[in-house]
Amino acid sequence: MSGIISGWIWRRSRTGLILVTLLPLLVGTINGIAWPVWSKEREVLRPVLLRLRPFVRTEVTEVDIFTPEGAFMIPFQHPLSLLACALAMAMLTLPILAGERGRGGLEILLTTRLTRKGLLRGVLRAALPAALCIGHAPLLGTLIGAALVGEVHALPLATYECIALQLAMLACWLMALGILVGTCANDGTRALRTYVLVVAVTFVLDFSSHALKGMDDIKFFSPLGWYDPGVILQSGHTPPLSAAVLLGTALLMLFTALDAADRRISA
Amino acid sequence: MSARSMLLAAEGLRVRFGNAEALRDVHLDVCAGEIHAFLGPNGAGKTTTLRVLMDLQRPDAGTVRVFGAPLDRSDGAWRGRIGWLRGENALFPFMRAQAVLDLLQALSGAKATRQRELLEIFGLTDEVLRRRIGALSSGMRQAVAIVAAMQHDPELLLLDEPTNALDPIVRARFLAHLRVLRGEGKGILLSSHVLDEVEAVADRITLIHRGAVLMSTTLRELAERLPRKVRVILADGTTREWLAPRADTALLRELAALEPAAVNIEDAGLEELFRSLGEEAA
Repeated sequence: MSGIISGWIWRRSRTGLILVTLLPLLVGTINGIAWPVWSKEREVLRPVLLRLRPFVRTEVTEVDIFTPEGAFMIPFQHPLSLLACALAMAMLTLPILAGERGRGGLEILLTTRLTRKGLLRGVLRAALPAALCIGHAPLLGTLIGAALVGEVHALPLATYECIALQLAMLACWLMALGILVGTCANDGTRALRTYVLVVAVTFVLDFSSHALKGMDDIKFFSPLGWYDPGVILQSGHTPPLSAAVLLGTALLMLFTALDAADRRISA
Repeated sequence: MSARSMLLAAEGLRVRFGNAEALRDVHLDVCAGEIHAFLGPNGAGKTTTLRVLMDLQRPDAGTVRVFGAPLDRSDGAWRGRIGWLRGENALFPFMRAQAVLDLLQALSGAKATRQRELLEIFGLTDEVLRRRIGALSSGMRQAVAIVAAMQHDPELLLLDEPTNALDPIVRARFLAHLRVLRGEGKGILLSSHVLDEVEAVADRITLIHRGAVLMSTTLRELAERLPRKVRVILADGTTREWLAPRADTALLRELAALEPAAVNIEDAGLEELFRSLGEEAA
């Protein structure tokens, strides 16, 4: 049953997913095209970037973004790439769980052999591959951009793959959030409102930790604080604690959602 | 009716929405080979009852047994043996009608043994099935919803206001098909407020009003309990009407006092019965 549901979710969400996936691809491609100018004008751009330091994620300034490996990492933490993750996961979870509940469509599904847990398994089966895809979209964009300017050979591809996997973990966290919110909300509007609020708070916490002096540690209250491409680029591997926190909290949300689905008084 | 042939039994169902009591001690059962009509005005509790029967609404009290077993939320196999039609059409408007039927067929876990037959009954052509649900007329949407509910040849049908938006010809064909299904031993719970269609097909009737069952009886017993409509034409040509129980001596005395020119007595329909019961309950 869950396979039928996941296929259905993919079919109904494919256009939106393709459009959203184009965002990190586009960022990577434009980043690659901009690289020759970027590297040539580094002396002019460096002081400008330093002045912007409080407003960009710490990791960007921890690595030298005027080297190819630093510059081509930008798509992994560009706000549009993070937004694409949030949008893709919302698209795959909220309309089917909360939107259809509000419209009455969920009742039609739940009067077949499909159980509440089967429905959640179906959503999970649809969203997990999507999380992997959206995590790797910036990598693909980076490769396209680097290929356009002949810099692929200069990139640490294994390290980039680690970053892509960590972005996929962040997408899994957002997926679990979508499933939990979608399971608890009574309609799509309320679910979307809650999801946007939580995602906005994570962005604000992350931004505040960089922009406000002495507030570095508050980033750990946001999943974005555990997504650290700069650290991966420097160390060459994914910090186990970050992976454990992202996946652990995602699992916790999923189990809470399963329990909530079983306890729901109405469909 | 033997316990063996009972497909569904609900006892003592109570549901509260905040301070409002939506269902009050509702008892209901459906046996194989019968059409059980579930009648009541809008807001009486018919849809809530049907939602409880399909485990779409958890009751505050009461039990439901389907195919002899209590409802099991973790196992959907029992739902695959039921066809459920939602009162308000909520089919997926962006999907093509055929895709909706295929999806729900696949989720029912059975082969589409009756899809073609049902499509013919409702006059749903391939051209109609290629259209998106949102682009169909309300009658066609309802027809697709009925086909979706019945295509997997379920043993038990729970139909909430199925004839809504159907034209008279299709409606007659649908009711005839329900009789065929009854002959095949299926159990059908038909929720409706259209009384003439209930009179045409139902074996048993349960009347619900303000969340409470007013009466549950067979159609034959009900016919005996139906009040009579008494129309009196007076000498001056004026007409007066009463709804009277079968033996109402007070009414007869009143009639005699009027010295009528003509008295016409006929069985009242369910409409009148329902009204009188509703007034009593109020």
